[in-house]
Amino acid sequence: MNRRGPVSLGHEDPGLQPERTLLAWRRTLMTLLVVCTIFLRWIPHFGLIALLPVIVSLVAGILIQIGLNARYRKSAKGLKQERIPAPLREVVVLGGTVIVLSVVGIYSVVSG
Amino acid sequence: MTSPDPGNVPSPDRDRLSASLLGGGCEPDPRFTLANERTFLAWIRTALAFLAGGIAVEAFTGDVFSPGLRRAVALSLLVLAMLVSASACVRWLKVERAMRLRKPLPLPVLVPILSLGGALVATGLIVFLVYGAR
Repeated sequence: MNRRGPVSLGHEDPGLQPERTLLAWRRTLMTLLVVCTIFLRWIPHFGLIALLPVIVSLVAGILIQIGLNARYRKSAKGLKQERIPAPLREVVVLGGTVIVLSVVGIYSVVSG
Repeated sequence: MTSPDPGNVPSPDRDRLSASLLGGGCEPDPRFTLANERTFLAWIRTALAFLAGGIAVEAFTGDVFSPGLRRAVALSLLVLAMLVSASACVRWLKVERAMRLRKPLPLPVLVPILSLGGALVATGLIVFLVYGAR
C-alpha cells in the first residue's frame, strides 16, 4: 500500500471501492433515466406537467455524470491519502431530484 | 494536494455548506465514506423502483383497477418513494456525521417505514383481489 507511483487513476485498494461506487452511481443514473421515460406515458393523461420530471431528471443526470468523473479521480487519490470528501452536493442533487419527481407524481395523481 | 500528509490539512473541498451540514469531527476512513455513499445509492434505487411502480400503475392499469383503487395504489407507491428518498438523504447525513465523530451509527428509521408501507399496499391489493373483482 505504500508504493506511490505517478498521479493516475490507479489506486491500490484491493476492495475496488472507487469502481464499485462509480458503478453504483451509474446504475442509479440509469434507473433514473428509465423512470423519467416512464413519465412520458403520462403526457396523454396529464399533459405537459409530465414533461417536468423528464427535464428535471435529465438535467440532474447530466450534472451528476459530470461530477462523477471528478469524483472518481478524487476517490482514487483520496484512498491513497486516506481521506475522501463527503459527496454532499451529489447526494443533495440526486435525493432532491427523486423527491421532486415523487412530489410531481403525487400532485398529478391527486389533481388529475 | 500532492503532499501525502493526512494529518492536519483541512479537508479537500469543504465548502461552507459541507462544513455546516457535516459538523465537526475528523475525516472518517475513506472506505466508510464510499460504503455510506453506496448504501445511499441503493436506497435511492429502491425509491426509484417505487416511483416507477407508481407511475406505471397510474399509466397502464386503467383496465385492471377501478379508478379509485388505481389512484390509491399509485398514490401510496409515490408517497413511499418520497419517504424513502427523503429519509435516504437524512440517513446518509446522519451516518456521515456519526462516522466523523466516531459515534455508533444511528438506527435505520427507513426499514420499519418501508416494511409497513409495503405490507399495507400488498394487503390492500390482496383484499381487492379476493373481494373486489367480482
